[in-house]
Amino acid sequence: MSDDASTTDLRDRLYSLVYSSFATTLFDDAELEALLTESRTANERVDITGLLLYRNGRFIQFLEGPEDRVRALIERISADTRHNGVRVLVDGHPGARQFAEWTMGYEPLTTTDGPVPEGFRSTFDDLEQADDGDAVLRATQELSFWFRVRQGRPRT
Amino acid sequence: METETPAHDVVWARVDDGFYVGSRPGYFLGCIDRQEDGQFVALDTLTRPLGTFAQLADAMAAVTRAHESGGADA
Repeated sequence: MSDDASTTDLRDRLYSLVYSSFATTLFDDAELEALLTESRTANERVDITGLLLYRNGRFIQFLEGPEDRVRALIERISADTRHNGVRVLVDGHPGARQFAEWTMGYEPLTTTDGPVPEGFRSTFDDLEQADDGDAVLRATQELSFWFRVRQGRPRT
Repeated sequence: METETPAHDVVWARVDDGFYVGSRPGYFLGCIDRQEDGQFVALDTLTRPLGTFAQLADAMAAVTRAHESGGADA
């Protein structure tokens, strides 16, 4: 395969990943809004869509788009001093985008202080299971599910 | 022919306060979203409502039952 063919592949092939990171300082609502505005403007230019979650100083972000653009973005995020401990949880080449309408979707998460109901798993605990790829993948899909339901819910 | 779908392989996870997702290995069954009035709305995998329940256990049963019967029926 020629280098040109490889480059075309990376430009055209849809690639997605989910990463987690920790904010180096806690974000308030205004700072989070500024980050989202910056992210949406940049993503629109390079055809990246996705979802951002922020909970207790931790970011979880879904990114999807042309492979070279997504890989370049995760490299920039890894070097961004606002993030610590950037870790890609899952990645792959999906057949279609999950968040096609969102340059960067966002829904506030409720802080869950109460215990998980008996017999239930915790999605956020499962995200930490670096040695259990199935649990991590299921947890990211649960978050995607949650977003689709909550973004369609009337605001109160 | 009926497909055996034992309840013990269902995994329930809490995503957020009042939001629960049910799955079996390889696929999702649906989810439950607690409303402000404390009622639990059960939803199928296409997020179509299956019903509203006072108890979480009843909403869980509705999600599992709807998947086994092939989708939203309420």
